[in-house]
Amino acid sequence: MTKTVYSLQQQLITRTGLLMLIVFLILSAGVWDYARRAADLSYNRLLNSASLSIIERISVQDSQIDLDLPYAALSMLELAPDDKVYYEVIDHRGQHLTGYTKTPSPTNYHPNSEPIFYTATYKGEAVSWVIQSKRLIAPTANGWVVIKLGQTKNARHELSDEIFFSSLATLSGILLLTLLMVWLGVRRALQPLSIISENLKSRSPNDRRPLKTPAIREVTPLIDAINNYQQQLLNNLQTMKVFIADASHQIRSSLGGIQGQLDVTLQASDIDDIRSRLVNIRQQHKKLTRLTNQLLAHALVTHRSDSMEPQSIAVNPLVEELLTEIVRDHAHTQIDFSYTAEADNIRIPGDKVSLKEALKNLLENAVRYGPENNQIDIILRPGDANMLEIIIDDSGPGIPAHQRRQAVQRFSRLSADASGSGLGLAIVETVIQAHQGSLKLDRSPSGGLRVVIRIPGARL
Amino acid sequence: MRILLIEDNEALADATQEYFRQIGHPLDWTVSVEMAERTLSWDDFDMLILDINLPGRSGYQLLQSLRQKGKTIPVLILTARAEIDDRVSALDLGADDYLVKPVDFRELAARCRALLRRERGAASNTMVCGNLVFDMARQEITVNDQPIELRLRELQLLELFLKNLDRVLTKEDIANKLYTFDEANTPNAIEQTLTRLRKKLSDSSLHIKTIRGLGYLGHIDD
Repeated sequence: MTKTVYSLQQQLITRTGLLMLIVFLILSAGVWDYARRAADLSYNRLLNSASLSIIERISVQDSQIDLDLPYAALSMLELAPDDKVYYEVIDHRGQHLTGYTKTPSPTNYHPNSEPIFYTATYKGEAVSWVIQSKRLIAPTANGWVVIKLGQTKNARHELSDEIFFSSLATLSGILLLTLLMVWLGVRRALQPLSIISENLKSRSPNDRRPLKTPAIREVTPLIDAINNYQQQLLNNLQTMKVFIADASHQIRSSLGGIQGQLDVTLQASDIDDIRSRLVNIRQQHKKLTRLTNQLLAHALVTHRSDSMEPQSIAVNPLVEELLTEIVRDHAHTQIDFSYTAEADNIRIPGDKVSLKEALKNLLENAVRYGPENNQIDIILRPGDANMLEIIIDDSGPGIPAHQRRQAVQRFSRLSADASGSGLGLAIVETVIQAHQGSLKLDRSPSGGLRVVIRIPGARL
Repeated sequence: MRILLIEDNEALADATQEYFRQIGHPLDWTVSVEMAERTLSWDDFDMLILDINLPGRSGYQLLQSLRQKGKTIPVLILTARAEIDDRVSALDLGADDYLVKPVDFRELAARCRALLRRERGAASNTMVCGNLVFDMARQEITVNDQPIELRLRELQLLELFLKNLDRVLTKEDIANKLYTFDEANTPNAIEQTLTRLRKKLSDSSLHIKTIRGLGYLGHIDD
C-alpha cells in the first residue's frame, strides 16, 4: 500500500453528501422565502377583508362622518388570538377620527381605493399594516377617508414556520434517501474491484490461467489488461528460464575450462610450460569475457525491445559513427572497409542503442570470421515499400545455405574452434524483430557472407 | 607524466599499477572519491583514470565537481556497467574517453596515451605519436629517430591527420584545409599525396585507413 491511500467509496459519498448539503441549503433558503410570502399573503387577505368591511361602514350623516365599527370584521382577525390589532381612521381633512393615534403610514402615500400593505414598527413591535382610502362625495365632506389597520406578526410567523419546517422535513427525507441510494450504488459499483482483488489474492504464483471475467462490461477491459500483463510476464519468464539455462551452461563450461587450466598450471614446474598454459588461460578468459559481454548485451536488447518507445533514428550518422569506431579498433589490420549510402537522411523508428549494438555485432562478426585482408562493405539502400535495407558484405568463408538457419539460433556455433559466443546473431535477430524487420543471410559478391537487414522506414 | 587511478577493486588496481609500471608510466592509486579529492588537492596530475562504481560518492560526482571547478584535466572513465547509455552521460559530464570493464591493458594504455598526446599537443610544439615525432615549430618529422623528408603538401596532410586522430576526414575536409579556393584540387591529387605519405611513413605507428565512401581515418597504434 502506498502512503496516500484513499477510499474511493468514502470520497464519492463525502462528495455527494457535500453536494446534497449545498442543494439542501439553497432549497431551504427558497422554502423559507416561500413560507414567509405564503403566510403574508394569507394574513394580508384577512387584514384586507377587515379593512374593507370597516371602510364600507363609513358614511356621511348630517355633515358628520359616521363610522359604525363592525365588530364582526375585527373578530375575523381573532383567528390570530395572540396578536394585537390596531386601527385608525383619518377623515377627509386629515384629522384623526377614531382608533389609535399616530399610527405609521407608508412614505409618500396618496389616498387610493387600492389597499397597500406594509410593515412598520408600532409601540415597539413589528406590525403588518394595510392602508386603504375611500372617497367621500358629499357637500359637507368631500375627500379621502383613510383607514389603517394593523396586526402584530405572531400568527404569521407561526404559519410561515410551520410551512417551512414541514417542507424541510420532506426535503431532508428525500435527501437522506438519495444519499442512501448513492451509498448503495457506489458499493455495488465497486464490488467487482474487491472480487478481482480477492481473485488475485487467492491465486498461486504458478497459476497460469487467465482471470475469469465477470459479466460486467465496464470491468472487462481491466480484466483483459491484467490478463495481458500476466501473459507478458509469463512469456518473459519462460524466455528468461530458457536463457538462464543456456547461459549457465555456457558460463559454467567456460569457468570449468579455466579452473582446470589453472589447476594444471599450479602443478606444472617448467617455466615454459607454465607460460604456455597461462597464454591458454588468457585465451579462455577472453572468450569468457566476450561471452559475458554478449550475454549482457543480449539481456540489454531484449529488455529494451520490451520496454522502449520507438524514436526516430537517423541511420546514416549512426552507421558512420559505428564504422569509425570499428575502423579505429582495426586500424592496424589489413581489413578494408567501404560505405555506400544510397540516400542521405534515412530515418527509421526504433531504438538507437539496440540497433547500434546489432550492427556492431554484425561488423565484429565480419571481422572475426573473415581473412586478414578482409573486404567489408556496408550498404544503406532505401528499398521498395518504404523498407530500409542495410547490407553488410564480407569476403570471408561465408555460411553454406543449409547452415544459415542454425547460425541465427542462440548458442549454436557452426564450427567448434570458432571463438564466438554464439550470441551475436541472436542479438541481431532480437533487435531486428523488435524493429519489425527481417534478417537474411546470403552469399556476398566476393563469396563471403552477406547479411541483409530490412527494417520498415515508416511508423507502423 | 603522472596518472591517478581511482579504483576500488584491489586486484584490478594492483594489476593496472604493475602494468603501467612495466611500460614505464607509474601511476598513483586511490580507492575512493574522498581520497582522490585529498590527493588532488596537494598534488598535480596529468590525467585521471576513474572508476564509476565506488564506495561512497560515485565517479560521476567527482567528474562533475572537477568540471564545475573548471578543471580540464583529461578523465578516462572505467565502468562495469554494460549499459551503452552510460557512455552518453559520461561524455556529457565531461569525460574525455570511456572504457567498459574488463579492459585490455594495452587498449587502456593506448587510450591514455591518446588523451595525453592531445593534451600535450595543444601545449607544446612536439607531438609524440608512438615512434613518430612531429616537431611542429621546425616542421620536422622523425620515425624511430630517423628524419623523414616530406613535401609541403604531405606535411600539411600529416598535420591534419595528427590533429584529427581517430576521426573521419572526408575528402572535402582535406581539400578545404589543404587547398585554397582557386587551386586545382582533384580528388586524385589528394589520393596521390596520401599514397606518397603512407609510403614514407610505412614504418611509423600512424595508420591512415581509407574508408571508401566515407573518408580517411588516422590512428596511432602504439
